[in-house]
Amino acid sequence: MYRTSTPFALAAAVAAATFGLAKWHPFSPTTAAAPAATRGDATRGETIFASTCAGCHGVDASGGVGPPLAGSGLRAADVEAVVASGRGLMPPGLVQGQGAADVAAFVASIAK
Amino acid sequence: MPLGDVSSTYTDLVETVFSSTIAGKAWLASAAFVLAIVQVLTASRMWGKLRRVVPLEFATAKRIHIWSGRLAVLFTLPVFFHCVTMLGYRTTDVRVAVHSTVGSFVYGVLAAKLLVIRRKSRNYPHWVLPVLGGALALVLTTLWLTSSLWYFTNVRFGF
Repeated sequence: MYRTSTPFALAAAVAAATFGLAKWHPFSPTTAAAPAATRGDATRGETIFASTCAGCHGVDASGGVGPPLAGSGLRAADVEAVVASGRGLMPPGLVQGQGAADVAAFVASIAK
Repeated sequence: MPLGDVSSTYTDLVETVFSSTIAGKAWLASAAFVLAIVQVLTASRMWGKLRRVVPLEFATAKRIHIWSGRLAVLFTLPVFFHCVTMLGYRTTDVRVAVHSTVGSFVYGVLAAKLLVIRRKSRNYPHWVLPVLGGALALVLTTLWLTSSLWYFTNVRFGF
């Protein structure tokens, strides 16, 4: 008969290792890129875009109530400025802080 | 290969099949969730339950249980890579916090279940294996509800 606690200790150890890896998230684009060049994280921005922006700009950013963003040529700084100040039906500060930088990085990545 | 290239290569790879990495995750997690249901049903049959619902021979149920488990783990690997190594642990809202926290336990519970199986479950108290299997199914269900279902109902239902 083995000790019953062993599998549960193993589960806790692997969960702790996973948690540590998630806190580190070594393949985050922000972690990997030069900080001065990319402030926002496009991967996280994609999540924010899907939940906050896609309703008006379309799930593929091809436009809807809001203007199309895919292929628009917008730069991250432009997007961040519009998000902060608002435009048309879009209220100012819809996404703020790091979230705004992330979503701007994502929009810039699909605007090329 | 620089770390940034790893994430962009992964994104390019997933986007050859799906419209975005999030859509890819939603569908791969859904496949794992369906297989988790198969796991619960076949495990129940192997333990002498649900004989009318799952009219399979023990050996057949066992074979399906093993292969559905392997496939489920396979489907979770890209999801794990994206969630854990690219997005990381986050607590931006309740859904994300629950998803991040519960997600940390997936492979821990899986490792514990595999350890018990490898060491022969009869060497443990009778309740250990069903508890670990049930916990794994519960974890996968919670993760599916807080990610794929959210994506399909709040963003879009499509590839």
